[in-house]
Amino acid sequence: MFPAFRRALGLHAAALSLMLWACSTPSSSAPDSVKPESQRRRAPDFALRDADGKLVRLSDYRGKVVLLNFWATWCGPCKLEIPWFIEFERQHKDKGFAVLGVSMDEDGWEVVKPFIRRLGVNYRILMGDDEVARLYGGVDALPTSFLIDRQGRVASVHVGLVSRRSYERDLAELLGDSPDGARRAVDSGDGAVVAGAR
Amino acid sequence: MLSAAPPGRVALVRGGQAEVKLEVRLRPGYHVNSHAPAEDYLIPLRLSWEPRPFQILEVNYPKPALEKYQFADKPLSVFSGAFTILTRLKAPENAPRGPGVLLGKLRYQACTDRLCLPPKTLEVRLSYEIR
Repeated sequence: MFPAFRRALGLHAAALSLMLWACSTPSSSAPDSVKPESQRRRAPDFALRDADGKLVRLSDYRGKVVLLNFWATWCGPCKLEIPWFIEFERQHKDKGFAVLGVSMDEDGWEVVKPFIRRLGVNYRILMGDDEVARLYGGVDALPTSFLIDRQGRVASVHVGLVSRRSYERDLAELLGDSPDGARRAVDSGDGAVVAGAR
Repeated sequence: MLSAAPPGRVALVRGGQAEVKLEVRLRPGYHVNSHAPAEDYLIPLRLSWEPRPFQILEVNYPKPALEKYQFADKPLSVFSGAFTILTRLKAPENAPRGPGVLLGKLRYQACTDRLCLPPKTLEVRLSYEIR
């Protein structure tokens, strides 16, 4: 097989796998939206440009908990979540946490830059494309957010607007602020010391 | 998500006018922004037609509903369920006689009360005959 074709097959298989895994994720409003470690799949790496034109890779954030949020300026539910994410960034950045917003605006930076300026967005915004949407299982509905653990694995997925409390619960667990994290580490049976273990 | 029945064929003489009905239906639970949304960041519903051979006199949208959603501070101007968009058009005096198809585009952006789908464009085909 040609290398490019082999790579394309691999990418599609990864996207399909992530989509199937996401569909099996419990309802985002359920208490256990963070998957046990043994069930977390690797978050596909990507390279997208930020508002300064710099190329940013997800792998640059290895070792941090990342909230990867797909959004658009025309999406009302997305707009409601943004102030929450601004607060999360402010509260948790010193604990090894980052929000990455991936804009799916077809009109590009011309509409996104004034929008994020007006809302006072304090986290990195990247310009998305069809490829990154495909890598993450075909992101169509917005907002869609992936919580990625320090090992670069997808720990939970939220499709559509969920409560702020849902995010706070997930973050507390992944950042090691919650007793649930310790319980999950024990349940995964790996015996390793992980974030949240007490 | 959104479907539109092809408008009925129109027949008109040169210099004559016709009214075209586009019947639109949305899946339950979804709404689209109206042609005059309440907020400037929202993508409006818009029906447009090719510029020839007809002169488009007006496109009339129905009266939208004002609905409150959990993600918005103010009620939004939306359409949901089934609704009809009317277009009045005129065949110029020098319009070529005979049958044809006029292409239109219906641009829309749909949401539920929790999520939004990307803006989409639906092609509309109007069969006509100018006598």
